[in-house]
Amino acid sequence: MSAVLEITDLTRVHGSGPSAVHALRGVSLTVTAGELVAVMGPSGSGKSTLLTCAGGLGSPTGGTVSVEGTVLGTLSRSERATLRRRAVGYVFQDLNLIPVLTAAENVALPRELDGESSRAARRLARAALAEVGIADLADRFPDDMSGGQQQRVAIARAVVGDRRLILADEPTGALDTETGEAVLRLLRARIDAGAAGVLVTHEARHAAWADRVVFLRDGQMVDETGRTDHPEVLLGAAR
Amino acid sequence: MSRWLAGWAPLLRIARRDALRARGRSALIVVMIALPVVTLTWLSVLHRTQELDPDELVDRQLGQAQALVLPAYSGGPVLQAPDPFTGSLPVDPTVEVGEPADPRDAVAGLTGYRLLVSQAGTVEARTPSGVAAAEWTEVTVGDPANAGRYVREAGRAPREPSEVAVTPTLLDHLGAQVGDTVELSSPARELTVTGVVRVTGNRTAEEFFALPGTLIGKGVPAHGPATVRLVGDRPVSWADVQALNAQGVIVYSRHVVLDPPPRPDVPFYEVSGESDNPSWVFALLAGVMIVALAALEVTLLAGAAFAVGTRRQARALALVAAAGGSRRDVRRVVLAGGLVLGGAASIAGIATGVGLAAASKPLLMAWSDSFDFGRFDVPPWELAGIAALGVVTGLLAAVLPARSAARQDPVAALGGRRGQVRTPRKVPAIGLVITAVGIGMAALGSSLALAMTTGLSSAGGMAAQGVAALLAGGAALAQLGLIICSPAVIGLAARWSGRLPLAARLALRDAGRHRGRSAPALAAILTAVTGSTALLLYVAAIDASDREAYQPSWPAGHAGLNLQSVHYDPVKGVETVRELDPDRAVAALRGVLPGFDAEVVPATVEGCFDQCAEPAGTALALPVHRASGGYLQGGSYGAMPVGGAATLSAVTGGVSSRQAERVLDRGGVVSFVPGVVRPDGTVRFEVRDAAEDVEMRHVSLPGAYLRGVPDTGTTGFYSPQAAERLGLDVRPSTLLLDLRRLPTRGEEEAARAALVDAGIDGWLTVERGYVSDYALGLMLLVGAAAVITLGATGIATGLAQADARADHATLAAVGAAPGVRRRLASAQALSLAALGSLLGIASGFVPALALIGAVRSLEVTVPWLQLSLVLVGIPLLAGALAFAFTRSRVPLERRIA
Repeated sequence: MSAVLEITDLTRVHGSGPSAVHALRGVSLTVTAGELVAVMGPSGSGKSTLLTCAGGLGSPTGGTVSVEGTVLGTLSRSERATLRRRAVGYVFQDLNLIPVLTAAENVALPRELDGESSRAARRLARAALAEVGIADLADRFPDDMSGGQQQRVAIARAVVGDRRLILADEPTGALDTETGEAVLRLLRARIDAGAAGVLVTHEARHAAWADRVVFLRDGQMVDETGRTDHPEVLLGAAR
Repeated sequence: MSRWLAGWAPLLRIARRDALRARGRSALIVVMIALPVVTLTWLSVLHRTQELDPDELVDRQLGQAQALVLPAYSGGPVLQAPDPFTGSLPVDPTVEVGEPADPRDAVAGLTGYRLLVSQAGTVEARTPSGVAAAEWTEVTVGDPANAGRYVREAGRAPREPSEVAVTPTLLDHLGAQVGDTVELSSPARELTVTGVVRVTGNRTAEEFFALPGTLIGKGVPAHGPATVRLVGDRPVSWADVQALNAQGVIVYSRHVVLDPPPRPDVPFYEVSGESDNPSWVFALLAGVMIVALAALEVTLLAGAAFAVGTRRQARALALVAAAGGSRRDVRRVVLAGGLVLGGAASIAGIATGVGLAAASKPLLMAWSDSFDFGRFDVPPWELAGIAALGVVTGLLAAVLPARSAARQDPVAALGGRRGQVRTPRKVPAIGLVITAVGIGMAALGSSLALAMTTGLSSAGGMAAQGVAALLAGGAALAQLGLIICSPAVIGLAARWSGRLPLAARLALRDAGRHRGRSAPALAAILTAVTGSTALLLYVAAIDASDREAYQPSWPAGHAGLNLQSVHYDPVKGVETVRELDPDRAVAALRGVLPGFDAEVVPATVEGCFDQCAEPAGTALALPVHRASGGYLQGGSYGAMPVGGAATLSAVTGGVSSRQAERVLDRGGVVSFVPGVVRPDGTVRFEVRDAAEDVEMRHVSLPGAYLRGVPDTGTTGFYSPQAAERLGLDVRPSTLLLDLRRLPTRGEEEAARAALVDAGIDGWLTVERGYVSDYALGLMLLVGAAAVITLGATGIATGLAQADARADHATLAAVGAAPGVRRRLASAQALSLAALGSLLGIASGFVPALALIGAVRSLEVTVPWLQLSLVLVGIPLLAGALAFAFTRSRVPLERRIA
């Protein structure tokens, strides 16, 4: 299996001097295609910082991050933006759809930003929405959708085009249990189709969907589980 | 009452603290409200300071005299208002205008007064750069009765005919000092400057003062009969004034002006039908509209800022509601904010305005002599009114945000959900109805006004005021209707934005979602552009009408020098004509003016009507107009220009035709206007011999109509043979110079000096074509629209950027390049400015068309350059500025999970 995301000895310091906060202290992590890694840990352990650095939204203080073989530290700001448009998809807990764009337009956003024509981008977007099961909501605005539907749109946006790394930060945080499970099932399906994924969560229940769980505390990786079977596999085995 | 007030106390405290917490936004609102307060305060204080009391005004006219007696130019007995400068009328308007009465004769019957006579004319004097015209006033400037009119600044009053006093401005222009000799070029004289005299209340006058009888009537023609000031102890009564009116003079009497007779005793008012000066009504109306517009602009702009402030406050307001506050309390928190900021802005604005007035007073006086301030005067009641306007503006700006804040759902606000605004269907419909009614009123007012000026000119003053109110009210209503529609317009634009590129789509949809801030900004732009467009159209119409009325003397880019110099011989009482030598003139001008081709244009000699020095051996030739009896005219040549093809081409500025040249060869005449040449190709002249009035003969000559000659007032051209057949003498009339380029004013002045040096006593005129006095004004209007549009888009875009931080973070996460944020801001500013300009230009046509339609002499002229600057240039500028001033780096939204 080829490594889609490779993080080596990542450190991140916010601020400097006595007020410096060490968010990450030498974290290493490799995620291969078809693999979903859950990152768990208490508040302030550095989970979200790990995710922002992995997608090039934030820059590390030390160590390297490479996505599909490209070392992010060597890229300029706009090159990193290009990488996010083409290779990385983010899913956040909230505030992640643009309220003035329709579902299809939100999904098409990375493609349109990448210079694709609106029409072509929207065609791709509709296909992505169909994949996540909400093709009929393509022309709705986010405010007219439920939380679960919004998060499906976000996942569709994270995978639209040919993106192979999905970074999800508490994607079920704002959803009820049942909807949350459905969203995770969808995420899992996309990973099984060949993407690599990192899922930040603080619920063990959700971590069960991952192939592997890493634990962060005070910016350091303190534990790591081996590959486990996720619930769907377990359910399948039980039958 | 005290409980009601106590209820406000915590709200004002919240408002004050909140204003201090959000310093940037509060400062923005305070500055916006304070700006008009500063301007109005400044104007009010300076106005009060410059305004003279009646005593001062009378002293400026009269000095220490009791009355000023002036000729009435209508001739015959007159009626006058107590202050004749506000109006006077001939008793019998059908009497033909004759010679004005001489005030000296009129006052001959009055006893007990000493007469102070003054008479004015114009002279030409040498300046260091050439020759310039100046006023020439003959009056005993040092007479004690002139104290208050003239102020001696240096030296002494003239005592000899060879001496003059001058105004400070003229002294500068002449480059002279007291004691120097100055040279007049027309009439040629050398004079000694003995003193410097300032004219009270007119610091720009360029005037010579000499003893009576020095030059006027001896080389300097008087502007009119002498004016007389009556010096004595007895006041000149209203009865005296009326007695003098009967002799054809008007009187400015100290006693009558300061203590006017009761209205029924003034027959002038009855005849003129004026209840009062109607321009006063228009000035008031214009003033009220300007203040109202300024207040509206500020209310809209500050309202946008308030709207965003309330959005930021949403959580705090929801907490007020949760703590047991009613909707009314929530509304009051926001209103209290308006009160606090409006009050702060008023206090700061008035203080700044007064300070600015005090500081600018000496600067203005130094900058321009037209400012002649008196005592520094701060009018407390006016300032209180201006302060109240500031507070009211603040409150009004907070009204709509307060209403929507009170309506919001506290639960949604506490949960941090962003609500969506929908415009009720009824609102735009109401707006459209109001707009339609406004347009109707303006149209009605316009047609009534036109009817009044053409048909019923004697319609009473009240009717004129009503029509003016109808026009202004209609325009204001149309404007108000569009403002009411503006949220719906934004909503519509947002809905139609689906096919636009991403940045524009995001910008318009965002504007549509946040109408609380975008609609007031749009309305502010709309209002500013409406005002600018209306004035642009009106001024352009006036400009076009002036351009139409402009009569050039020569073809464009030509200069002319009249070779027949007329001199008045005061001894013999006749005019003599002296012929100037064109070759010497050309030699004098070579090297002084830019390159030119010179052509001497001869012209016929027409009979002179009176005081002819030469006995009239010449004939008077008048071509008979075939259709309407119009005549061929010589324009600036005085009489008909004469010559061959080359001269014709010089006269027409290069326009000629084969046919015209053939007709000249055959001894005919060329007409520049159609209808003079008869179908058989001849022009029929009726020739009268000047000496024997009765005899008349008819002469038919070959004629040709020459098309496309630029209008210079000259409508025809004769061949020498034609002039001879008509019995007309021909002599050199004009030296016409075809200039390579227009000379500068300095070159023009130097050229006149060169002519004087060469002993050529003629006035050179350069045809510069129509020079618009309004070009600067038109551009200033565009500038005013630009300032407000840029301000409004700046505020709206800045607020939108601040509001959209979360969206920017999302954009960054999905891989928006760093520049996207700038492109977004740019698109936001551009779309708002373009929408506002488009609507503003459309609505600006309403008052402009109404106003132009009301004036018969005006026609609609679209100032394309300025309007396209407003429509395209300003929005592009707004977009570019937003692009330049937006940070491209996207801040990562710090999410609190």
